[in-house]
Amino acid sequence: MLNFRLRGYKIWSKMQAPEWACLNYNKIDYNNILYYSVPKAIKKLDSLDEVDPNILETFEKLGIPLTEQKRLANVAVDAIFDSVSIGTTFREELSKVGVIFCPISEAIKEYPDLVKQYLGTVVPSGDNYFAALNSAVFSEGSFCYIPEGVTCPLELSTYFRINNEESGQFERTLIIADKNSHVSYLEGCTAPKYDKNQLHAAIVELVALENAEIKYSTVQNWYAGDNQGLGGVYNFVTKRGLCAGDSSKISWTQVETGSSITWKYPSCVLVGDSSIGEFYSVALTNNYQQADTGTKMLHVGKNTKSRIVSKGISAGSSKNTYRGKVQISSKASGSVNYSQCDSMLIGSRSQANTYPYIQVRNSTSKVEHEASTSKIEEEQLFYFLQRGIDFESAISLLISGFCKDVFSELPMEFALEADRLLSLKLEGSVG
Amino acid sequence: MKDKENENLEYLESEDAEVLNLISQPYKYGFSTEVETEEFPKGINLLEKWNPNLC
Repeated sequence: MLNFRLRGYKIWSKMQAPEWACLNYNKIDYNNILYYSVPKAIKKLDSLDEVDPNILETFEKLGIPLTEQKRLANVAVDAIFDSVSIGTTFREELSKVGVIFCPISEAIKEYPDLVKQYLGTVVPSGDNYFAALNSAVFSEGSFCYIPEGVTCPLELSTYFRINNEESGQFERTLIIADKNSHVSYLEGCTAPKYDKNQLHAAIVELVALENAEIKYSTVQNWYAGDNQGLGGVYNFVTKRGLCAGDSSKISWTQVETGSSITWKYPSCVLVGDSSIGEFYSVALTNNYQQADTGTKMLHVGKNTKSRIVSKGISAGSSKNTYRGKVQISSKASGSVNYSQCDSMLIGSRSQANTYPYIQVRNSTSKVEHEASTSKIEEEQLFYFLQRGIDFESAISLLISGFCKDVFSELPMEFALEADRLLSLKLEGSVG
Repeated sequence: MKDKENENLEYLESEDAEVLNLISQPYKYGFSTEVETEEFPKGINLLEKWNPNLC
């Protein structure tokens, strides 16, 4: 691991921060950040019940109870606090069917061959500036391995919490779905309100082998800064899935409501023939938030399919950008892509931008792209109001309707939360 | 004609303000937790300071 980190650091120190995104933010002082911060009480604990009660109470307040009696049914949770995992629930139940779900720090020690085989293969250290930074300093994250032929019996979930004001979070998640396996994974995140900006630079790598399926959902609710744009999390994340096997499938669903800056493009590399990549996204920005987010679908195998549904809502003085790339290689004959990018503007000061890039290198493939920009119309509101539906419910229904194609892709228990999060208030919740 | 347009614009702006008001509620998870921590000193150049030959 030391060599892996040193290589990442060498690459990073020679790179420049990217400036192509539609984002304006103060230069980050990388020497004024804590890269590792752990609660003193966290040593080697035998049980979650031994964790500092303050930390357990924190997760309970966040809606993620970890103690034996209160934990969420049917959801195995890995709870990460600053630079360390507090604990992982339902590990024994998962191990009975051969599923490995643990902090990545533990996987490096317990399953070194698996980690060595896959770490950095989907997102190499030199992929981009923030990937190189993460490769040098990453601490914690989750590791999942689903063995051949197994459908994971529980939802897997990781909850990320930044607590220390001086600290960033640099986690790394690696999920491997072996042949004919299936897993659904959800991540959530929140942070305290501080006047200072905090840095989050993460990497997520997914590998789906033959006929395997990974469904990866995110409810991103980092602190977004105040209504004057003070504070908030700088969120620079590299997420990529490799459909390595034939007929494999990777599906990304994200609901992005937090962070002062979001720079994130969950992507799929469709190498296996007849593999499928999907991206469903809702990004809501308000006040002075800026989001530059989207996806890349790289078609390499024959008869590969991808689907992109992106919904952006911009309010206040915020800036919301969709940036997507669909690339169909010369060998990817018979491939199909469908993209739909809709933007909704609220108020007269918000911005919505769309940058779709399409490259097709064979003549048997089909690419479709639709885009729209709209506002909440007076007539729509009138229609609700004149039927006795109050203003608040009308807005809620209109926003729910706008986002329904994405919410319907979330696991049921989180879809309701996401709907509530977006339809009325930014107070938010994560599963 | 101009007055009518201004009236419409004012109406739409007041409606936008109501929508903004609706979605601008306080962040519920902004609390912090008091815990004693162990930390590495600040800075990414820590490694260079520790052992420049490695970098």
